[in-house]
Amino acid sequence: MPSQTYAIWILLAPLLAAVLIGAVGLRGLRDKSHWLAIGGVAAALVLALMLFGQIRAVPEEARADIFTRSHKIYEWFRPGFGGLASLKWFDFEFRIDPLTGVMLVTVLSVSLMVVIYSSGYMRDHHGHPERGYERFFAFLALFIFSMCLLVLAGNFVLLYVGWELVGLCSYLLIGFYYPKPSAAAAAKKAFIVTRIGDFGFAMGIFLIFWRCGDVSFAYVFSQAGLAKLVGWETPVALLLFCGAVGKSAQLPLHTWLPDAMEGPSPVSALIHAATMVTAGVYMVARCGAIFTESPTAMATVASVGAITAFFAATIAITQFDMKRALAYSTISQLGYMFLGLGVHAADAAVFHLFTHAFFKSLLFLAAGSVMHAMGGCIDIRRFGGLAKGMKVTAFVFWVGGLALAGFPFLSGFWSKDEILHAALGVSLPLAIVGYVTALLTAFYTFRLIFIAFHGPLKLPQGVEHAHESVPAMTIPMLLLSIGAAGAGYIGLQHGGKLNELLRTVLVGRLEEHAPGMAHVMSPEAAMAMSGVLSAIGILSAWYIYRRKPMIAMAAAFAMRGPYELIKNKYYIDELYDAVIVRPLHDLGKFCYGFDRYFINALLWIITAIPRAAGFMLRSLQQGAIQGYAMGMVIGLLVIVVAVLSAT
Amino acid sequence: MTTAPQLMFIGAILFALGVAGFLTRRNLIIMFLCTEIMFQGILLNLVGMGLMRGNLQGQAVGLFVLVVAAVEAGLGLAIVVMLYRRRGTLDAEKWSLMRG
Amino acid sequence: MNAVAWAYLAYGLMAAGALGIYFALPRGGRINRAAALLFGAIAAGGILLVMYQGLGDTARPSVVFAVFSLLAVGSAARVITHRKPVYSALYFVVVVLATSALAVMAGAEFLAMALLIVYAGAILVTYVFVIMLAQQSADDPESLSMVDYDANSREPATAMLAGFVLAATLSGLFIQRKWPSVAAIEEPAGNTVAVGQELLARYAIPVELAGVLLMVAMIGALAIARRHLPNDMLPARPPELPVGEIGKTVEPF
Repeated sequence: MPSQTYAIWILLAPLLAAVLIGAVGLRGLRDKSHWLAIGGVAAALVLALMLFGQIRAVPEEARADIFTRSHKIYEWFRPGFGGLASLKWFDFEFRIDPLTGVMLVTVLSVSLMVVIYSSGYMRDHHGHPERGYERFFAFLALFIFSMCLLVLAGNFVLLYVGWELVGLCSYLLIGFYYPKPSAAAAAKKAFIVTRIGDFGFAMGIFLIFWRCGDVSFAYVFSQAGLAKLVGWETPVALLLFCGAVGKSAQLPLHTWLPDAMEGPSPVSALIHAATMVTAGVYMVARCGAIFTESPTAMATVASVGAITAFFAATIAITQFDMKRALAYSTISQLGYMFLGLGVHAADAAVFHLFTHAFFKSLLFLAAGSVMHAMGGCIDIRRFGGLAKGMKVTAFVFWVGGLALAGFPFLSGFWSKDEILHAALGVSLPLAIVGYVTALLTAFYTFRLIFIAFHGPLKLPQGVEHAHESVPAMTIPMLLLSIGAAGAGYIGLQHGGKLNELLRTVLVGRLEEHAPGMAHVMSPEAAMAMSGVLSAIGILSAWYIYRRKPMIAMAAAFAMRGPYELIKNKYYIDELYDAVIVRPLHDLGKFCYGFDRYFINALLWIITAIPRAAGFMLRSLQQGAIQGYAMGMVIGLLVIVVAVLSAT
Repeated sequence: MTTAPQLMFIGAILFALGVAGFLTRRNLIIMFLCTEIMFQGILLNLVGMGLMRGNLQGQAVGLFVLVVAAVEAGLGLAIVVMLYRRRGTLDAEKWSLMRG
Repeated sequence: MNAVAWAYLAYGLMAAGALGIYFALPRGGRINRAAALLFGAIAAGGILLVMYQGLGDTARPSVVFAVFSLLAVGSAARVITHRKPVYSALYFVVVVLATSALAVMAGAEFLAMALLIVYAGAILVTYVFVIMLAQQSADDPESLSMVDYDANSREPATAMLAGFVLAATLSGLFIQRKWPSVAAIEEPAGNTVAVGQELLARYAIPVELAGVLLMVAMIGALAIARRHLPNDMLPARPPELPVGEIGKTVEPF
């Protein structure tokens, strides 16, 4: 079977599931809706694995060729403006290469687990489905279709379509509990904030089209295409990066992601941890040919990533909402990925994307399991010591936490270490920020674990006992924990199959761009250092939160000012509110007032003329039939006289 | 030589009488009768014109006038019945909702 | 007499007729019978005069023609002046009969028969039915006296003026005209056959359309006169809005 046939069916399977659930979900399917979704996603996953098996590492001499290849399905549309249609058709085309393959496998395997998990999560304790059960699965399947379209897209316009579709699904699923005002507000916020980034992304695409006259990856990334972009790489790259910043919740557009946790936990796991938020990373990696041409853009990407990683990690320490803490952790890890992209280690960044998808979705699913057991409560101050009652959840949370913390020999360790090692080769300050963040990561992860799962049993009001979740939830978590523990071995540094594959399509290896700085520290030393830092973070969390809980309070009290600053997320939401939202709101109110009082007054004056005329003329209208008949007779006479005088 | 001008003259007078009656009577039924008088005038006119032109078109068109008159009577009387049922009077002046 | 003089004579006669009807119209249930008869007689004489002398060099109509003409005009005058609707309807039958007679004399026998059957037979019966439906019941004391809208005319002077001007204009038209002389219509197989051929040859499609029109009108009449009224049209209208006052309560400014 040719590659594009796989690709088409990978897209169609979840789309058909979404459409079918949407069409017959309310009558007939209802609480069986998940079977369609599971079937569609499983089929897509099998196809994706088969497709991945077909993808071979491209030999060195053929690498120039791979950038000019795309799988055209049909001619899509021909853009035209000002009466001039360009001769070039935009194709509906796919790009199928190792990067696509890795993304597809990541997305679909996590998706399958999340969909199975959801079939247990979206029910109450008696197994009755929640309201909107079928809607949930329809949206989820639609999201999976959109995400596959995004990673399969072979040109910028198709990429943008997938990009916006996943944004739409994200909006729909964050607002799944739309009767809840906070959920509706979070959905709107996510949509609007990412849209700011999307504006830049669209501008970047326009710029590419203006310069190159084409948007196909095959052309833009070829020698000829890149030659036309000479002198424009920095603006193009920065504009594209705008879109990535919005979608991947980097500073300064990160504010939507923590709020997005209003959605159901499986949604947080799939969309806001594993897949959609990594679209920005994917896009920057995909456009590596453009980014690497511009040192400014690369420095920007690396700095934004490093600063975001550190900044979000500090916030995560102070959060008591388990899902919010994990959301900040996601922002922080995405920062790592951008750091990797910015230091010419795109393969490491994508590798981290791959491992992160497993352990972060696992953590979110475990958090959802806790939330389910605690009757919707997610505040870690209100429960504790759950490990006794929820053994599986605690176990998988431990596995995910260790992987996130970068504990040696779990998946996060390998990928994070690779990024940090690459960063060391480019910029010492950025690498130091990265290592500090690694320490913080281990600390905040185990802060959550020790508070929530260990110590004396504590339950929120109204919950009698902590009970383990149903198998539909625990089995996917266990499967994911295998991935979280072992995913790193697929891409073991230097010689791992995954990296080898990725390297063939990702432009810009460290060695080519900064040959002199490649080895400030040996790989082994770097590994040891990240392992030690991770262990220090875990141990200090254990010491502070298990042995001497007073330390945390004392520290918080002693550094009230900084603590409050961080706990309130650096007041960034408040800042945006004061600087952007309020002025816009006031402008809106002003416009409304202008419309209401000035324009309306003007219109009132203008309309007074016909009203006055009507007032004077309406006495002519007596409303009696004979009055009208008299008018007709007079008209008849006029006509007769006119005809007479004419003959 | 025919009596066509005389026919048309009588037709004109009938038409004018119908108009005058329509304008001055207030009973809806009488008003409809007045329109029927106008139709009679028109019929006579058509017959006269046909005679004057020396063909039968006048008479043929007269039959169509008859059709229209029948239709008008049927619908008009239905409306009158409905109006009467609604307000219990046949006074045309009671129906002046469009008065300005 | 020349044409202009005839025209002025005709105008005068029309004015006399208008005055006659003006006096004959019910005012408070009464009529001025003497004045009405006087002016009516003047008008009738004038009509005869115009018919025999004023219309140029045409054939002189027969006495029967003149009688039916006067019968038609007189009955029409009674239709519009009579106080009681039933009598109006009966006088209208006379108008139809007289018109049919005139049509027969003009050679239009088929049209005359159709007129009799359709008008005097069908339409007039419908009218009488409706008049009976719309009469107040005998138990109602008000129905013993005449209802206001039959007893009083609406602005008779203006209406008569309009009618007079119309009639005068039209009759002036006839008097000043030079009438062409035309050969008589050839009807070898009789008028009915000739009209039938004319209708089905020249007017085939209009005949079909007329059939459709009748059908539509029948359905329409059924729909209009149904007993069930739409809810919003039933008498439950707000009492504070008297009929004819809608819109008056709204100030323009």
